[in-house]
Amino acid sequence: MTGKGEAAAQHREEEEDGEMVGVVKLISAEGFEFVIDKKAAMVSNTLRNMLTSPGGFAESRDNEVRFPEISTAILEKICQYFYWSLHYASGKETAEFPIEPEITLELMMAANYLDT
Amino acid sequence: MYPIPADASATVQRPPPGRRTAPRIQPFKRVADPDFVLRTCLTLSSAFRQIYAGNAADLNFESLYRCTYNVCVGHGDEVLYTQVATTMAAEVEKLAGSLDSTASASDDEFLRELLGRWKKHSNAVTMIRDVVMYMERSFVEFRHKAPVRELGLRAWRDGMLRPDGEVRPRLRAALLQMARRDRAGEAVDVPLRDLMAGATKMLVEVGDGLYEEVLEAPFLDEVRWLCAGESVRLLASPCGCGEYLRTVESMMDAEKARVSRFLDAQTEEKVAAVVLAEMVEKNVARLVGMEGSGLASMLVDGRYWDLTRMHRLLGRVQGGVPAMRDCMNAHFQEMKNTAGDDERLLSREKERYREMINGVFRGEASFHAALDSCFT
Repeated sequence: MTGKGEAAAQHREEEEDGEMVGVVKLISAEGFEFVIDKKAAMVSNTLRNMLTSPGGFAESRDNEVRFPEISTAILEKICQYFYWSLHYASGKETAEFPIEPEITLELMMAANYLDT
Repeated sequence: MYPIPADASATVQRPPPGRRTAPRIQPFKRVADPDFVLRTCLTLSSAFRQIYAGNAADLNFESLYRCTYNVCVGHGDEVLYTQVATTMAAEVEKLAGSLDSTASASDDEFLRELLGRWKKHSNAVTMIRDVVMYMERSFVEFRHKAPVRELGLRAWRDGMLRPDGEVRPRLRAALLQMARRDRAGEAVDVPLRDLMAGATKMLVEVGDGLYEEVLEAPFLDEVRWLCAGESVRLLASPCGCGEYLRTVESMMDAEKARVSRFLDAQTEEKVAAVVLAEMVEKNVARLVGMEGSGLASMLVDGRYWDLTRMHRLLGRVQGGVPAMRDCMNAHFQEMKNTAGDDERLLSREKERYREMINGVFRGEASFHAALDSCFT
């Protein structure tokens, strides 16, 4: 099941002339692909290690990471979190990151998994 | 709203078969499989071996990371930790074994091979650490075990740099040979020097006093022996105190420069101390009181550069400055006696010496005290 769906437009980043420079693709369990800046992805320590590991695993070469165990909804929320984190990282303004109660457990587990 | 798929059974852990859930909070379900931990650890081990072999590009980080996650969550962390340690040790053994074949190669080749393997090992350790990061975050920190990087260093130390192995003596010999050639004025090629510097960094990183034991101590011993010999030779020759001290200073600077080229910065001060201890500290009284060229004649002749140098060097050894002060005391006494009642001469000399102490001896307090106590 490789549906090439993409989530809401605000997550999509420009692809420069078809090259994936500075972006990575995160693929959820259902096959949804989220394309985000590498900078956003590095908010997660796990993803940072993955992409900057010296030996070069398959992911850093292809610039895409599959998460067979993270659902689309959760992965989307996580991508939102990355951008929220980058935006408010300077600490000058603060805002709440909205989390629906039903997804809390899964989201926390995914956050733990990704060291975010 | 989120595109919730019809089958919303995808949670982060593997869901038990046949369970269909609506979007609500899932209770915790663990797949109870005792072999799971073992099987996964073996998978990880073979992945580690592949990393060492340099084939990481075929490996999928995410799945390995997930293995670690599942193992830890399944209470297999202890097992995994031991696996990491043993796999690393085994791989280092292999690297060490293949190094023996270069036993007869030149220093240059040997160092190159050694450092190549070190780089491979360091990279593999970093990659392994990234893969088992979940274990590192939870298990290692929680139970205060040595982190993975530390395990890597230990494996290298015990596997490659064994006390009874060949690597240590080889490194020591290579260093001393390089230092001797450098002293003799032969040019040591830059690549070789860089290799040596690389080996030094490696030893410092492995820690555990290895650098001190393998490289620093033999180097310092050789310098000590050389200085002792040179000292005896110079003192037996007709060179005066000023020239002796000049030679000491240039030797000290040369050795420090040598250290900065192939050894670690921490050794610079130590080598300076060795040179001073052997050549100056042992001969303080003799140097200060030398007939015709010691402190007294330097003062009389106004040899300012020699005086500054003496103060600079003797200031760094035990009993150096006190010896100078005693000699100055005696000199002032003698001068006072010779001048007798000539007030003008006395006050002129006093002024001259006061200026000298401020300028040449950088205002050394004990010398001022000596001057004052003598001329009151």
